[in-house]
Amino acid sequence: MSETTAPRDIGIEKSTHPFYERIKQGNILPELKKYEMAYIFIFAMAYGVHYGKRKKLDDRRPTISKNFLENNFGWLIRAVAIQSSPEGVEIIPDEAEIYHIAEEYANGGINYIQEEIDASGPGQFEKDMENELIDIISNMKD
Amino acid sequence: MVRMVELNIENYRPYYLMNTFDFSVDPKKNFNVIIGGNGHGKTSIMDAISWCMYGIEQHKSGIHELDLVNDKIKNESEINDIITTSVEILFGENDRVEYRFLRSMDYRKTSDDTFAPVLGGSKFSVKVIDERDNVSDYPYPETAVNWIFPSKIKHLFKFDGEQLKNFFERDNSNKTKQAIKDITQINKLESVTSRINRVLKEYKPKKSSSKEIEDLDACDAGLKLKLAGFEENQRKLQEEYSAVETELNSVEGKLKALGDVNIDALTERQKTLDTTIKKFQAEITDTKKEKFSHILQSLPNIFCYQILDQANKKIEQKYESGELPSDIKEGFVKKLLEKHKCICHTELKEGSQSRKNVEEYLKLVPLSKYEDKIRHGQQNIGMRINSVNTFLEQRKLYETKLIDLEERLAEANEESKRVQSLFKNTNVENAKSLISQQTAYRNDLSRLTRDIGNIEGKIEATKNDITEVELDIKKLTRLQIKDEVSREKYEIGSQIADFITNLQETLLKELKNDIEHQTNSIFKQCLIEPRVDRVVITDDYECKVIDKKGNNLYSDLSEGQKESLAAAFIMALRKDSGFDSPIIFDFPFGRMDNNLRIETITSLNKVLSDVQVIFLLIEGTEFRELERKLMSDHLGSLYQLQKQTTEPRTEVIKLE
Repeated sequence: MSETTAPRDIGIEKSTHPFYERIKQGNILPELKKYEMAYIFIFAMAYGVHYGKRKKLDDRRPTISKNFLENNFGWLIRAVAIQSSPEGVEIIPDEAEIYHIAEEYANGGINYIQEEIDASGPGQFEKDMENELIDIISNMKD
Repeated sequence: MVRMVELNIENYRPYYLMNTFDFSVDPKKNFNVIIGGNGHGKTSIMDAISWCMYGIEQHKSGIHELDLVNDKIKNESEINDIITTSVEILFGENDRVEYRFLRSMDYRKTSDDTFAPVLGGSKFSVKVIDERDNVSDYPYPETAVNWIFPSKIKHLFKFDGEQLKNFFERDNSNKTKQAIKDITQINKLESVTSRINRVLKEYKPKKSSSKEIEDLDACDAGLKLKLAGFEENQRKLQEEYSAVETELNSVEGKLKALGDVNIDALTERQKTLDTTIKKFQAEITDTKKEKFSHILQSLPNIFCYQILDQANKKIEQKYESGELPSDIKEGFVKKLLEKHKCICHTELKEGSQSRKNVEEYLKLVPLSKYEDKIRHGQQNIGMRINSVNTFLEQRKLYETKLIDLEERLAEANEESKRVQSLFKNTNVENAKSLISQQTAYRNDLSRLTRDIGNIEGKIEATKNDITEVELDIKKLTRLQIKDEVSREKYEIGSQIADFITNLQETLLKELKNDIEHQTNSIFKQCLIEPRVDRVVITDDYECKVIDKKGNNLYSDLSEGQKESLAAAFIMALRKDSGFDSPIIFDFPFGRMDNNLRIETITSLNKVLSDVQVIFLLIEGTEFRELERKLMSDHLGSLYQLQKQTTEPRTEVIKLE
């Protein structure tokens, strides 16, 4: 168990940066227009977690304020780390690793989203997404 | 000729107890001289005569002073003593006394040494003595004064030197005219004229009555013209109203023919429906956005739901197994191990189970530092899990709202279609045009109704004005007839007033000429001045002394000559007035040099030859041996006033 500190800015894969920007500008998902980059990061991370897409970053680019993520999604990110790491709860003092795991899931998730959008076309992705959410919750209830 | 026979002064000013002056009544010895130094009581004699006759001292204004009492008698009196101050003058012809004028005032000495007039202590009486020496009180003493020195012309009987010398210096014309008027009865004519004029005012015809009628006639004509103009306007407006009304009826008939479709209401309904449809569409868009936003916000929690749930359970297990204690004091635990003794006094020997347990416990130190943070994090995770549970409910609300909005939108669209279909079946353009015309005609009718109302108001007001003006004309016409009668009376009265005014002017002129003649005659008798040709009183009543070339020499005259001229004028006035009362001169030669005094006395000897004169002269300055000699032919009595140095009183000594 090691105590570490997360970097000031959380990184994304350099090659995905333009896609992030396009989403932010509303070119791909109009509903996400003007959302903070941090939110798109979490959105991507959630996709990565849900579809088991974890991908190492080849060319890390520090982009998103760690403080912003910490304040709004700190324990969502920690929950992912607790569950994804063999250390479990003991990973808590290791902040660098926690955010490293989040970066990898976001990287996997953003690639997945990109592929899905490319495959299904505009509009369909949102419908699929909504249906997927309903399915998840329905399954939960079952 | 009225003469002052005797003057008795008692306790008045400087005169202590009773002091008597017997004046000469001999027509040839007509000068009575009283001499004394400054402050010895000469002017008090003038004041005493004035006070006796008029109740006011010569040199004082207003009512007589509170305290006229002689100081010596004051000093001698006790508190509450009553002192009488009195002046008595006896007048008569030759040596017979005919009138006794007596004025007295009683004073009481008060506790603070002042002298207050006694209530009822002021008395004035005139006794008349007939030829048989019967004495009687004259009942109206105030009017009796007018027999001797009428109040109005009293200034012509009492002078001081300055007054006489300056008689013609200032306001010559007015003073001369007023003096001539005062000594005659002409003023009575003046009062008659003013009384007539006061009466005439009542009969004075109104200057403007006929002019006023003319003006009112013109005004009446103007108003009638104005009324005609208003009535013409009213007629035109009513014609216009009828025309518009006809047009309106026609348009409304056409609209009725178009059917029962209410185009206005239909247009309005369409507008409302358009707005409603737009509103529903906007609300649907917004709700969809809100719904998707909700999905996006919920997505991370839903996608990570299992992870959140499992992480929560792991934390829970840690707590349950005691592997997540609250912050452990590492140093304290290490010390226990060093001392081989637990806090519960259990021995912590090397290799013992207790020591192993404590050493295991020490391994939990790093995580225990985060225990507080983890507890809070667990709450956050719990909230996220809960939000997933409410997702469907929230989504259902959005769905329901969307269904409702879409149903209402469909209804609105349906109705809109029906309205549009009604429009299609109606000639809307024609109907709109007719409605527009209808509105315009209705507006015109409102305007015309307003205008007609205004003009009717003006017509009413003008008619009222005309009625008022015509009433005024009638009133004035009646007054005009009345005025004719008044006018005749007024004219007769005016003629009388004019006659009296002319008569007054003529008499005044004649009197002026007579006084001019007499002044000239008297003045020239006593004047040795070769340059003087004559004395004239001009038509403007300015008294001038003219040389042979007609130049006014008045300003070249000496002070004595000026005094003589004034005396000559007064003598002339006295002759014409019918009053021949004595004249009193105070300080007549005071500021003259020797030569002038000789000249003046010589002149006055002639001018004042037939009038009793009382001279009040300064001893040693105005009256010396020389003056005594000059006046000796006329000197009837001579008194000396001696002021006592030891006590406040003046002694009267008869020298001749």
